[in-house]
Amino acid sequence: MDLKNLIKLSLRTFTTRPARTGLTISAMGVGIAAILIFVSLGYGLQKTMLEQITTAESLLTLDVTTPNPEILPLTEEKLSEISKIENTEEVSPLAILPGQISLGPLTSDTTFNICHPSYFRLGGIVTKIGKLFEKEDEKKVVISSALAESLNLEGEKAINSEVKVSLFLTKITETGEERIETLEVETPYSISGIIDDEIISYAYIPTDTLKDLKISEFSQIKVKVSQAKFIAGANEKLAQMGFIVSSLSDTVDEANKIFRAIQIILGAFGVVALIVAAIGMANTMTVTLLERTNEIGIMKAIGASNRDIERMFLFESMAIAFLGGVGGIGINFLISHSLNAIVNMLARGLGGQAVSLFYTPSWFIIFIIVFSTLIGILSGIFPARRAARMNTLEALRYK
Amino acid sequence: MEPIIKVKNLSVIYNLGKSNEAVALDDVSLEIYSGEYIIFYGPSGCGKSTLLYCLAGLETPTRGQILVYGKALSELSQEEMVSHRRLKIGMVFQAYNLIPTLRVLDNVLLPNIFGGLIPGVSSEKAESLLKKMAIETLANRYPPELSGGQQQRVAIARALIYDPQILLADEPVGNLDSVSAKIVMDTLSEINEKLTKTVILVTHDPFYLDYAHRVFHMKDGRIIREVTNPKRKQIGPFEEMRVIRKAPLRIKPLLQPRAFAQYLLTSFDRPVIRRLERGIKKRMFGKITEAQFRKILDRPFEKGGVGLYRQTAESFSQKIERVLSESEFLKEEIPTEQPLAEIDIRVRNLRKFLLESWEGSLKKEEELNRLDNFIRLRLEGKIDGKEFQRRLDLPFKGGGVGLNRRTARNFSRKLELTLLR
Repeated sequence: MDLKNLIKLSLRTFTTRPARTGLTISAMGVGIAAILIFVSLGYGLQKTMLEQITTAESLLTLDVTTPNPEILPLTEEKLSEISKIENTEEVSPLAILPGQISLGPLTSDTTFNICHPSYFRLGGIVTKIGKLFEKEDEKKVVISSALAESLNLEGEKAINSEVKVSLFLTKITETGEERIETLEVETPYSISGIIDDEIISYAYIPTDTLKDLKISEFSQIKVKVSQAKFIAGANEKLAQMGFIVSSLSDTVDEANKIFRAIQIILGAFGVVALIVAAIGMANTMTVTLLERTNEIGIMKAIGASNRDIERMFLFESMAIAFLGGVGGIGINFLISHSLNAIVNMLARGLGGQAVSLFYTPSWFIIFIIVFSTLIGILSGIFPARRAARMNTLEALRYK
Repeated sequence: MEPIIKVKNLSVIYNLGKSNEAVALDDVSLEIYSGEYIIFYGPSGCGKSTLLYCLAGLETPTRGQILVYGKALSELSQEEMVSHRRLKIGMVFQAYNLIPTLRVLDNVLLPNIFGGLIPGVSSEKAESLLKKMAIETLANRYPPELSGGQQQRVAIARALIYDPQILLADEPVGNLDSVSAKIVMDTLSEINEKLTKTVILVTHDPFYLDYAHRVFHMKDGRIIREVTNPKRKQIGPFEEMRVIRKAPLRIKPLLQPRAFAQYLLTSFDRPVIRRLERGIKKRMFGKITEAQFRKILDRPFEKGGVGLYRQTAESFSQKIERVLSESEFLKEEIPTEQPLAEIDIRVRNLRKFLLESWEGSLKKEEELNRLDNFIRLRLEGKIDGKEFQRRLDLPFKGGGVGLNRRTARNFSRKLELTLLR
C-alpha cells in the first residue's frame, strides 16, 4: 500500500468521526502539553537562575584562598607561581582591608575589596545601578547596596557622588606588637556603580589607586582556565599547593543536579497525564476496531493482507498521536506565554525584574514530537495486531 | 478438459472437538470447469455459503482438499492466499459489503489500494467497469446514497477490478427487490457469457436456477443432487440430463439428540437444551408418547419441563415427529457407541474440557487428532507438561497443533491441574 492510499484510508476517521478523533487528539495534546509545561518550567527556572549568577567566564574561574594566612600567605610570588600552572589564562588577586567611607557628614564602617577590573569579569559580578570601574587607576568605587543605604544614597542619585576613603592598616612594630594605623586617602573617589547586596556592606576600589600601600598579601585569587575541561586539573594542582579552591562551576553543577531532580519530578507529573491520554487513545483505537470489524472483514475478503490492515490502524493511531503532539506544543506555548505575561506583569507591578519562567529547548520539542508518535505506535499496536489477525469470516458477519 | 476447481471430500466442522460440534459441510466433492455458471442451491444452513467461502479461501476445511488451477488452497502461503483472493477470484456478497466512507470509485479500486507485489490497475479501468454496470454517473457518490441494486453492481465492479477468472457470489440478490434482482442477475449472466467468467452463485431461491449450467442441490452439508440445465449448452463433459447424481439423505447425524436440539433451538440456555435433549432421547427410544413429549416441552422449567410456549412446544414436537416418521431405520441407526478404552474416554473428556473453556476453535481434523495424541502422551507420562505445552504451541507444519502461546500455556496449565487431582 503506497503512502497516498495509506493516508487516504487511515485518515477517513477525521471526516467520519471528527468529534471522537478531535477529543482523542485533544486528550493527547493536553497530556503532551502537561509534560512540556512542567519540563519547560524546570528549564526556565534553571536558565533564569543561572543567567543571574553567571557569566560565561565566571564558570571557568576558580577561587583560591588560603587555609591559614600566617603559614601559607597568598603573596606576589605565589601569584606568579599560580599563573604559571598549565592552561591558566588569567589570574586576578583580591586584597581585603577594613576601613571607613564617608559622604559629607556621614561615615560608615565597611570592608574594602581592592582588585583589578578583571576581577569583576572573572567573578561574574554585575551592578544593579551604574557601571563597574574599568580602568586600573581610576578614582572610582563600586559599593554594595547595603553600604549605599547606610550612606543614605538612593538609586541613580548615588552615581558620581564623591566619597572619602580611609583604610585601617595593621602594622607590626619592631617590638612585635600589632598596631592599627588609619590611612586617609587624600583624593576622593566617585561612586561608579552599586551592586545588589542588601545585607553586607562592602566597596570595591581599583588596586592601582593604592599603589603606595604596596599590598603584597591577598585574601583571594581568581584563576581562570582556558577551557572547562581544565578546571578539574587546575583544581587539583592548586589543592596540592595547599590552597582552598572553590569554583562557581561546582556550585552550578550542584544547582544543575537539583534542577535535574526538579525537572524529573515535574516531568513525572506530566508523564502521568500523558499515560492517561495514551490509555484513552488505546481505548479509542479499540472502539474504532470494533466499529470497523465489518470493514476489516470486507478488506481482507477482497485481498488485503494482514500487514495492510495492521499498517492502516497503526498509521491512524500514529497520525492521531502526532497531531496530539503538535497540538500539545501549541497548547504549551499558549499557556506558558500567557502565564509568563501574567507573572511578569505582577513582578513589574511589585518592582521586580522581568524573567522568563518557561524555557522549552528545541531538542525537547523534536523529542516530544517523536515521542508522541511513538506513543501512537505503542497504543495502536495491539488494536492493530488484533485487527490484522481477525478471522475474515467472523469479521464479515460482525454487525 | 481440466476443471479449474476441484473439491475433494471436503468437510467443515465448527467447534471441532467440543460438545456443540456442528457439521457444516460433510464430504463434498465436485468439479467446476472454466466458463461455467454454477449455482449452489439449498435451504439456509445447508452449507452452501460455507462451500463458497471455502473456495474463496476464507474458510479452512476440516478435512479434504480444494484445488484451484491445480493448486491446493491449503498449501498456499499467506502471500499466495492474498493474491488468490485478489487475482484469481472476485467476491460478491448479499450485503454488498462496500465501505460506506469511501466513494464508489474508491470502493471499486479498493483491492488495488492494498498494493504489495501485485501490479496496480488504473482508475480508468474502474471507470470502464462502472460504465459496463451502467452506473458510471455515480462514481463520486458514497455507497449509502445508492439503491441496493446500484450498490450490488458497484460490488460486482469491485470484484472484477483485477479481471479474475472466477466470480463468487453469495446470495447476491437476497436483499434486493425483484426488479433490481433481475438487473443484477442479468449482469452476472452477461459476465458469464460475454466475459466468459466462471460464475459460482449461492442462492436459496429456486427462481434463479435457470441461469446456471449446473445446479448443486445441497442439504445438511451434503450435495444431494446435481442437475444440469438442459436449456444451456454444457461446458464440462456432461450429458445433458437432468439429474447427474443423487446422494442419499443421511439422517444419522440428525438422529443424535444434540443435533436435534441444535436444529430446534438457537438461543436457549444450556440447562434448557440439556432437558430438551433428554426429552428427545426418551421420545426417540419410544419411552414416551408424542403427547407426553409435548407435555414435557410445555411444562414450566421449574417443574421439570423444558418451559416452551405451548405453540412452540407443539411446533417442535410436530417437526420432530415428522423427522422420526421419515427415518425408517430408527431402531437400527441408533448410535451404538463402540466401547472405548478407558484412556480414550479420559483423553476425549479432557480434550472437551480444554476446548470448551477456549473461545477459539480448531479448524482441521488433523489438529484435533494431534491434540488428542498429545493429551494421551501426557496422561501416559511419556511427555512432561512443558513438552505438552511446546507441542501445542508448535506450528502445524512443524508437527504441533499451532495454538498461540497463551492458549498453549492455558491448556497445559489446566491439564496439569487436572492431573494433580
